[in-house]
Amino acid sequence: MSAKMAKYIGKRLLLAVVTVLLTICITFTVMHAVPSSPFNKAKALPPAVIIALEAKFGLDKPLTEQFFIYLKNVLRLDFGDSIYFRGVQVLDILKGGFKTSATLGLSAAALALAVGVFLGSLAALGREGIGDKLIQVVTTAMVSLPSFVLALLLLWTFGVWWPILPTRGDMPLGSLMPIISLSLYPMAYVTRLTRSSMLDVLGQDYIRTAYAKGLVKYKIIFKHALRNALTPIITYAGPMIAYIVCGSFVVEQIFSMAGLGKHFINSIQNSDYTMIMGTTILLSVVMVTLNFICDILYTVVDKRVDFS
Amino acid sequence: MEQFDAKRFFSFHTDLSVFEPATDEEKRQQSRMRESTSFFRDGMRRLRRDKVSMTCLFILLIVALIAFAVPPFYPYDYYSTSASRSSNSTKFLKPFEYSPKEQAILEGGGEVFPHILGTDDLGRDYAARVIYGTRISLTVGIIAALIVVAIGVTYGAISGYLGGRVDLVMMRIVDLIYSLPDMLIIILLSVSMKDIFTNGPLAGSPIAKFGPNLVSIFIVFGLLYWVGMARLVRGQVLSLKQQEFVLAAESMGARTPHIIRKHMIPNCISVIFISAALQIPSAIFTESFLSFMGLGVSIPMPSLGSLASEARGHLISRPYLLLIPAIAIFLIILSLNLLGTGMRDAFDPKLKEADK
Repeated sequence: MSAKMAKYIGKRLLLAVVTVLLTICITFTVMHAVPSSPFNKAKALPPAVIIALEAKFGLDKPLTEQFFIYLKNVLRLDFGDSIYFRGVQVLDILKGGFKTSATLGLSAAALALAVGVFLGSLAALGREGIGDKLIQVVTTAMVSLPSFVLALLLLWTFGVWWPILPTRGDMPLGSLMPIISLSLYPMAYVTRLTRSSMLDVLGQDYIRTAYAKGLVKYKIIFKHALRNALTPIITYAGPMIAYIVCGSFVVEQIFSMAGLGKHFINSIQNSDYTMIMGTTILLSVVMVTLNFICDILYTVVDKRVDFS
Repeated sequence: MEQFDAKRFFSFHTDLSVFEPATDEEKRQQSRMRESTSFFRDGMRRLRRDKVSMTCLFILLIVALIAFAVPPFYPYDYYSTSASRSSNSTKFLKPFEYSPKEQAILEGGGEVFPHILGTDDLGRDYAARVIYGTRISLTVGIIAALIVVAIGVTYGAISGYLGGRVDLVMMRIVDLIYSLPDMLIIILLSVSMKDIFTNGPLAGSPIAKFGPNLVSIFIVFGLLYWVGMARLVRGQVLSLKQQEFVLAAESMGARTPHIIRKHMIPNCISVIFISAALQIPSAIFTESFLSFMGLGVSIPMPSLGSLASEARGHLISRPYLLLIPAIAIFLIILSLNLLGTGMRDAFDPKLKEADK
């Protein structure tokens, strides 16, 4: 690793840390700008109880002091108690949903990448043919629907109209439909990206050299072309992670999966502020970390990147 | 000229007296300029030849016409339940079905405008809701795009034009905002904004009546979404400053205002235009996503997203309640996406060549 690269990684790391801190700061400020106290919503409580509760949650201290206490707690992974579910730690709820969501998200990402790269290469190889045209039309259509509409349409098609797939996430094979509906949009995007970068690579001189050497076609494509065509896809990783995280809110809700997303939507509807803050911070840490890893990966894979 | 008037004997000097000045007609023949065409007109010519883009434009114009011109003449609105309010029989009418009360009017010789798409679970005319929903979604998309253009272009142009340390600081801010998980912050802001407008000091203000969630969407776009545009414009301004044609113009004595007017702005405009066109779908997506979570437009106002999300409960019995708004969203977003790509190809032929 060169010194230049170490400097670059340090810079990205600094940006990642600052981003997370800023997110915590924004989350805290925004949630404390809310005028309604969380306690008078559920049912009318006597004022003395409200004061006692505020003291318990530390809401009577000055705002800056509250912030630093919160920051310290967050760094120890302590997000406090849920306001809506009394006596339950936010961290425990998050832990419960994390596994479901992580499995769902990772499977969706893997499916999107595998199928997307395959279809994209196919489209590039049969360029301007009927298969290529078809793939282009389908992918264009796919990126024109919001995630929840896509999920609902899938649910209706394969759950109601032609019931061949289970509609609830907790049934056997039930995660199939959530994974598919979550992966369709990134899949379409990866397909288009692979197609254009593959076409770009196939026009390069070293591919012509490989042909001239008399290499077999599939070896050229899978060994020489694909490897280089894949680098631009890493740049799509960031938007894909963001899409999958946000899409999972919707998909988990629709297919009744007890993941982070469902908890998040529920906590929004219940005005469970500690829970909203905890989920936001946890998810942004996940997103920023993954983004950081992809950034580094990109520089490692693509030797041509200039670190300035 | 006078000093060369007489041709000296044996000299190679040209005898000017045999020449005569060219007439204006002859001068005009000399200039081999093609008919001047502006950058914009040139792009439009290419765009007009693209059948896909023209179809999309046509679809968008029709959708916009229906959404903005039909409501004043349409006999139903999006919030009143039709005819007999008390009975259950107005709920879930099938397309072109009449409620018993309307049936009675019809039999008595009166006229009732048909419910083209039936009614929803509260007996509201669904066609009216879809039309109003389209209108809201389009408005959200366009206003959000305008906000993004206004902030992004100003910021990016200043940053790129000033350069140096100012540029460095301004771009670090952009980097930071860019790396924020925007969707999470949008949700967060929408949650708190909703509370501020309903419980806080702003409750009852005109903004609160207009729909706190819509306002919060615009605020969020103003705060977070302009960074992409700012980067784009800055990059464009930076690279334009170093282009050969700018050097050529400078070397021919063009002044800075002329270069900015004739070279910078026309070259930026297409990028801004295209990016704005692609910003609209993103805003409509965001709005529909928030609607799904109950953070979108305020009830009873419909948007295409909230209509699709309301249809969720009736998926088995009445799938068309989902299909109609889904098709509307699909048509709008698809047309905008294709038109955006078409515009990019038309206004930036360089990009298209690189694409192939």
